[in-house]
Amino acid sequence: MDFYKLSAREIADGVRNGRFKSEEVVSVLLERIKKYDKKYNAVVTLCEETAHKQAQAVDAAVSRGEDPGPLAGVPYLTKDNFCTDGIRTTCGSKMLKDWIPCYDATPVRNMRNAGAVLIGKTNMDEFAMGSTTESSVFGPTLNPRDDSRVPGGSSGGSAAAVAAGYCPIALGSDTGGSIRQPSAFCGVQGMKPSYGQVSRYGIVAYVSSLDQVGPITRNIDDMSLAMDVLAKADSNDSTCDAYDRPSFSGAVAAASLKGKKIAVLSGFDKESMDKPLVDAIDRTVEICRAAGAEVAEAELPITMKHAVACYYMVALGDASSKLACYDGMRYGHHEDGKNLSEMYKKSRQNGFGDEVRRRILIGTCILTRGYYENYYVPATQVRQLIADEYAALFKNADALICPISPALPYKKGLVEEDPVRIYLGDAFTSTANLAGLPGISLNVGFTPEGLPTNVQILGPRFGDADILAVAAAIEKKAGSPAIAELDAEGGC
Amino acid sequence: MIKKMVMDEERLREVLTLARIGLPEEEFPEVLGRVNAVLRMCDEMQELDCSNVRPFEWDVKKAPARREDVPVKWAGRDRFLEQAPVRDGDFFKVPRIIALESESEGE
Repeated sequence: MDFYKLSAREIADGVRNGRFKSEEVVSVLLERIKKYDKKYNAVVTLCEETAHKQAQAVDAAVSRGEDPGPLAGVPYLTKDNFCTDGIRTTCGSKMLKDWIPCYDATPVRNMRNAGAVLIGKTNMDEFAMGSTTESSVFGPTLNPRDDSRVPGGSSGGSAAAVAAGYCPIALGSDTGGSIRQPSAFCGVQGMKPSYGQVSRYGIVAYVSSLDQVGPITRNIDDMSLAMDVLAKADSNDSTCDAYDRPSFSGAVAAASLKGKKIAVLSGFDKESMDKPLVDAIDRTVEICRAAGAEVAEAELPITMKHAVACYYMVALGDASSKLACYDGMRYGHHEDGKNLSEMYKKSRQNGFGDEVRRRILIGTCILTRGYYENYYVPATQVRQLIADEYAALFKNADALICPISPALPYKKGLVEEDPVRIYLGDAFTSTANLAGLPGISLNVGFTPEGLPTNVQILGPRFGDADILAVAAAIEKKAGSPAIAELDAEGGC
Repeated sequence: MIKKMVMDEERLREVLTLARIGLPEEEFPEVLGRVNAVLRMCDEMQELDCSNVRPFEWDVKKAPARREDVPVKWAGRDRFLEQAPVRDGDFFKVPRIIALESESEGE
C-alpha cells in the first residue's frame, strides 16, 4: 500500500481498526525521507529508533484492545525549534547545533498522548528569522514543487516535508507568517491558530508576544484533527487561554458557506502582485458566492500601510532580549575568551549567523534611548490600532479572504540581493500575529507551471473553528493539493 | 513629531557592546546599510497620531491555568550539566568575571 499517500485520518483509522500497523506506515515514510531528502534537505534529524519504538507501542496498545488516541500511529515531523526530550533541537543554528533538551514541548507531548509518532525534526531559518529556509546551519531546503525555488520560511522544512509526502502532518511555528507563507510556497494547507490557542511551552522563542504553534497538512480535515489535539490549556504557558475549546473536527464536518459573511481585502496594490495570486483570490471569492456566502470588499488602511514596520519593530526589539540568553556558558556554542565579556562576544559573534546577528543588533538599537521613543513605543501603539481595525472589520464579517504573499515562491538567493523586499513580503501575514488572529493558508490550485496558489483566510481571535469550517467548505470545491512529484537526483 | 534616526558607526559600537556581539570592522558598512534600510522602512509609522493610544496588550477569554507552587520531578542536574561547553565537576566553568582595568575597555 502507498502509505505515504494516506491522510492522517486514514492512517489513524487503519491503525485503530487493525487493517495495518503503525510500524508499517512509519517504516515506509522513513524510507521515503531517506530516499529523497538528500536532495530536498527538509529533515535535519531522523528519529528512527524512537519512531519504531513509539509505533510498536501504539500497535501493541491496539492489539490489547486499547485506543491509542485520535492520531493513532500517525507519523509526524516537527520544526527543529520544538524541544524534544533526548533528541537534538538546533533551531537551524550553529549556536544550538548539539543541544539536547531534557523535556518535550507541550505540543510534542500532546501529539504523543494522542498516539502520533515523531519521525524527525525539520529544517528552518536560523532561530525562525527568515522566510526562505536558506539561513539554516544545515544548508537550504529546496521546494518540492520546483527545486529552483525556496520553500518559504521559516517553517520551510515542515511545509516541504508535507508537500513531499514525508508525513501527513508537520508542526511549525508562526511569528509573522512562518507557517502560512511556506505552506503557500509548497502548496499545502497551514494554520496559525489564535494567540493563546496552543501552548508554546518548550518552543524556543523568537518573539513571545507573536509566536504561535500550528499544523501543516494536505487537507483541512487533517488540520482540524491536529487542532483538536494541539489546542489545549497548559499550566506551563501562562499565555495559553483556559477557555473550553470547541471541536475543530466537528466544525469542519458541518462546514457550509451558506449565509456566511465573507470580507475580501481591497485597497492594496494588486498591480505589484504576481497575477496568478490575484486570480486565486478571485476564484476563491467565486466559490464563496456560488456556495451562498455574502461577499463584500473591506479595507484595512492603517494595517496595510504600517503592519510591516510595526511588526519588525515589535519583533526585533523582543527578539534581541529573548536571544540574550545564548551566552556560550551553560549550553550552546562556546568560544574561549580572556574574560567573561570576550567569551560572550566571541561565542555570540560566531554562534549566530548573519541574519540573526543583524536582527539582534537592530532590536538592541531600537531599545536604546532615542530609538525606543521614536520607533519601539509607536510600534506598540500602532499595534493596538491594527488590532482595533481588525476588530471593527470582524463585527460585520465571519472571515476575511486576502493574499498570503505578494509573490509566487522566490527563486533561490533573492534574500541576499534584496532583504527589504523579503521583509515587505510579510505584509499580509504579520498582521494576524500582531492582532493575535487565526489564519489559514489554503491551496486553491496551481499555475500551469505547477507553482502553488494559496489564499489566506483570517478570522476574529478565537474564531479558529469558524475559519477552519470556511476553509473546509472552499476546499470541497477547490480540491486539496496532491503530493509533489519528487526527483531523487540533484540537490543543494 | 517625525524624527528619522540614523545609526552611525559610533552608535553601532555602543549597540555591539550592549548586545554582547563581536563584529569585524570590515562588516560595519554592510550592517549599517541594512540597519538603516530597516529604519527607513519604519519612518512612515511615525506619521500616525498615537497620542491617545495605549500600547497594545493581550486580553484573555478565561484566565490561564496556574500551576501549584509545589516541587516537581525534573530531569536532574546531570542532564543540564551535560550540555555545558566547559565544566568543572558539578559547576559551569567560566572565565574571570571581574576584569582587570586594562581588559574592561568599552564596557
